[in-house]
Formats: sequence, C-alpha cells, structure tokens
Amino acid sequence: MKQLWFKIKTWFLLRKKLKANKKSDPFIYK
Amino acid sequence: MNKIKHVYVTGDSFSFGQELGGSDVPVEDFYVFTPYMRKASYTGIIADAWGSEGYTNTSYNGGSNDRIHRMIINDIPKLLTEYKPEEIFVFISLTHASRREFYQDYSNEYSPFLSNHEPFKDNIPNHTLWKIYATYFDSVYEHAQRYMLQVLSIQAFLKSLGVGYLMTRSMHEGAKFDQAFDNLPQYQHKLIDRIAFPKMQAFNEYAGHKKVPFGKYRHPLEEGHVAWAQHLTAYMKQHNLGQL
Repeated sequence: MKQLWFKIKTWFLLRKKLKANKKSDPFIYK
Repeated sequence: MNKIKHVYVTGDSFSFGQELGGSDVPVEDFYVFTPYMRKASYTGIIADAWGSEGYTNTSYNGGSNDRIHRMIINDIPKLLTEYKPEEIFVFISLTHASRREFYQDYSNEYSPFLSNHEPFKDNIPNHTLWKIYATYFDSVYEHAQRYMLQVLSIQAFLKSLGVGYLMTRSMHEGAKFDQAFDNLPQYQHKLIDRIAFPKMQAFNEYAGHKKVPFGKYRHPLEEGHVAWAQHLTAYMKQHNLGQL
C-alpha cells in the first residue's frame, strides 16, 4: 500500500515540478 | 606574439553548433561534428582566425556542466603531453545548471539528464532514476551550489596548469537560479576570476538581442555564431586573452 501511495505522490509532485520548470525553461529566451 | 597551437572547446549544443547546416539531421548524425560545423561554429571561426593547427571540440548536445568538468579534467592533461600550456586555449560554454549526467553501468555509457525534459521511457532504469531525481532531488539550491563548485574547480585546475581559458554561458538561467547563486557567500564569489569568466550575456541572450535567426530547436544559426565569435574576439583582445 505504501508503495502505491508513493507512486501516486511522485506522479503528482513531478507534474507540479515540470509545470513550474516550464516557466523557467532556459531554451526559451524571452 | 603568442601563438595558440591548439584550441580546445567543450560545452553543450550551443558550442557544438547544433542546427548549423540544418535543424533536422538523421539520428545517427546527431552527435557528429561535421567539417561544416567546424567552420561555422563560433569557436571554429575564432580558431581559423588565429590559424591554430589543432582544434578539439568535445561539446555534446544535452551535455551538462558535470560533463564539462569531466572533459576538462580528462582531456587537458592529455593535451599537455603534446603542447606547452601557453600553446593551448580552452573555450568553455557552461550550460544550464540543472543538467546532470549519470553513468549507466548496464550499458557502459554516460547518460545526460535534463531535469525538465523527460527521457525516453524505453530505457527503464534511466527513466526511473530521472523520475525520482526530478521529483525528490532536483533543487535550484543544489544547482547553484554545484555551479559554484564547478566554476571554482575548473578555474583552479586550468590556472594550476598554466592553461588559458574563457568561460561563457550558452543560455540564460531563470530568476530563481540567479537569486540562489547570488545568495552564495561573497567570500566565494570573490574567488571567481571575472576576466576569464565574465559577467556577460549568455550566447542565446546576446543572439536574441542581435535579432539573428534561431533554428527550430532554439539555437542561434550561422549569423549568430559569427556575431558571438566577433563579440568574444573583441572581449579577448580587450582583456589580453587567447591569441594576441
């Protein structure tokens, strides 16, 4: 059960981080 | 007049010259540094202007500062078996501090990690490591720490060997990184040689302001490399770096 909860938590956290990272993507020079 | 006999370059896709001669190359050619790129990339332009007999470019698309550090430590001592320190000049194009590399023991090769770009799912160990790393271990604070560590270590290494170098940046960082880096202690910041690693715009920023064409993968094209080569040459002349 702990493993499954960890997988779900990771999925949400990663999505959140990637969204935040996109805002400061170095490839896009503004 | 000092003559630079060997120009050594390392960095990422910006110093590699990705998209010069075409944005979409066949997969097997993606990491191939062609004679055209040798002539058209900014370090190639500078090496040709200097008339240097030797040129090495170990830049790597997606390469990290981790990798740059590894290239310098591995390759410069080897070059010194053929050339005197004053005959070598090193161009370092530092990349985004978030990038890392990990050695894949199962395939005996280094794997580049771009924490905000998901790698292919078919390499399961690599993808799994990336997922956990990007979620739980990636931090702008760590990026700033490692960047300072690498800048000072590369600087100390090259200076101890008597090898001249110029460190520039391929890309701008985000505001969060800039803040984290600026917040590092002043007694560390003071140690950075700001002649060899000037506080100038990154290549992509400079090219953006010059309004030169960019490729679809956001690298400056031929005109951008010419402009950057001119910019760096003028800077080096002003500060007695490289070939005089």
